[in-house]
Amino acid sequence: MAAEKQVVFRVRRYQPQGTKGPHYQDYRVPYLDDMVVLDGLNYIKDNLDPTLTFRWSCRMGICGSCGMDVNGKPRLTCGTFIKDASPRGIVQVDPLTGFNSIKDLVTDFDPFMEHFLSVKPWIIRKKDAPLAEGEYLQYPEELEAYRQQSLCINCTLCYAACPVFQGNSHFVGPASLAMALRYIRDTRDEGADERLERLSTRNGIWECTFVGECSVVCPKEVDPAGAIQSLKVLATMRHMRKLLMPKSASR
Amino acid sequence: MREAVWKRPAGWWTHNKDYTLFMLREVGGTLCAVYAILLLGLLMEYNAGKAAYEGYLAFLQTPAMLVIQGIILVFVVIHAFTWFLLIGKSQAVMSSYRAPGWTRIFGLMVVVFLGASVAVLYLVFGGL
Amino acid sequence: MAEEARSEFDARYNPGHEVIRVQAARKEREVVLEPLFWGLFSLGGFLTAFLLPITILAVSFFVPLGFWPADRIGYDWLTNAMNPAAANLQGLLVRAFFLLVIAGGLFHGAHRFKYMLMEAGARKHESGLGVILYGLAILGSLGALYYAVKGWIL
Repeated sequence: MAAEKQVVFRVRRYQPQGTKGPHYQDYRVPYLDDMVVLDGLNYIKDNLDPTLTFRWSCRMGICGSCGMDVNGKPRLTCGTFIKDASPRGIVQVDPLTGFNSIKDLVTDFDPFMEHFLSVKPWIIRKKDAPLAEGEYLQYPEELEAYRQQSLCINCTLCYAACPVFQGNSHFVGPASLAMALRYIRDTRDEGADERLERLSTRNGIWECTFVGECSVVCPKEVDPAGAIQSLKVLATMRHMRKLLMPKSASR
Repeated sequence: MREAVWKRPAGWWTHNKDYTLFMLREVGGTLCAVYAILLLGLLMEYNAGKAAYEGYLAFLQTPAMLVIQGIILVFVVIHAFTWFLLIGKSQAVMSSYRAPGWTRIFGLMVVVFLGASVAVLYLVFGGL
Repeated sequence: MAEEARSEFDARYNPGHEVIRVQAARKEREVVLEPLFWGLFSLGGFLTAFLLPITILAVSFFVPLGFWPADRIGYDWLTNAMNPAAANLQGLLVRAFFLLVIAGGLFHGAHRFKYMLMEAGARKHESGLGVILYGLAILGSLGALYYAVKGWIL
């Protein structure tokens, strides 16, 4: 058998039933050039340590389940090659920053779910058109206006990258705000004013200091940082309109 | 269920090059205000007469003040350039076309920066 | 006891047919002044990024470094540069320039400094900090406005 390449996976372990706190455990993992970090974790679970717990599903970068910190950077483990992630022969895997971990690499992302739902990520209409009228029609250009933010796979890598969220978990966060913009920009939606009212709060868009790291780590190029900047502009314009022309119709 | 609680460490901004640049940008932003105060002082002393103005300029040119202004200059330039980088990497999603790569935006910003500097040099300070 | 643990676990991680409730949003007050100060901060940042470096070089360094003689930024130069009577509007331009750079720098720095202090732990005092820092920025900008129009309108 040809000599296999080997790498050390340094994985953060945490067993809630045990008495030991979070600690690192090393595993020797053989790998090929086309293996990703997720393959390595599955090798560990299948052959070395069945107690290792982590989330994954599609293994092709679309479900958003396998987000973890690889060598300190939030990555989708299904999209990170072992050969690229082992500069000194060690791949360090931690749960995503900013979230508590339930067990091993599994995070409690309830805060994200709460924030995400709080921006009302659905079409809001004052009055739904009757079904008999058929679909809401939309031009391709109108779709383009929000398409980029609609690509979000809710992997929460952006939350892990955001130092503001790391310091204050009440901050609504990049993915939720990008989703808010996606709906505000959607021509079928009529809830811009309602959302901006919710977003233009202390823990909404104004907490963001435009670090920009969220857009750097996003695997789908949603650009939440740019989206939040757009929201700030929209909110400011709406604010000015309300101050100067309080009687004019909203939006 | 006991969860392992995560807390942001105090030196969080040292762990990552982008975070460090962000902190420097923050400091640079604050130092902009410091220099604005120095400029305001310039106008104040100007209005107090020639002797006051020249005294103020002499004060600005003392070694300690030169060091401070040098630090401000470095941070203000870092502030401007990290902002140009940021505009490229996370472009305000205002239009619907596939935006150009960040290097083009950064290049454009640098060109505008140089143009603005030349304009100020000539229009305000009388040229080279 | 095992049952207790189990149902707590179930309630948290196996909601079954329960609908996820949107947490009654901790009713946050909409901010009133923040968008305004953000707008000024943004504008100030834009102006200072392009205009401040060359200004610092011209005012603070070209003379001490020997590129310019001292009178290039002397009293007579400034009087002439700010002279509003010049037909080519240069005087008004220079006055506007100083006003924009000073006001822009002050609002930009005030906003950033407030966030730096909040990040460092002073979150509870946000409104107090705002009053002090934005208040100083407003005062400074009014001062700059005063000097910009002195000798012209005043």
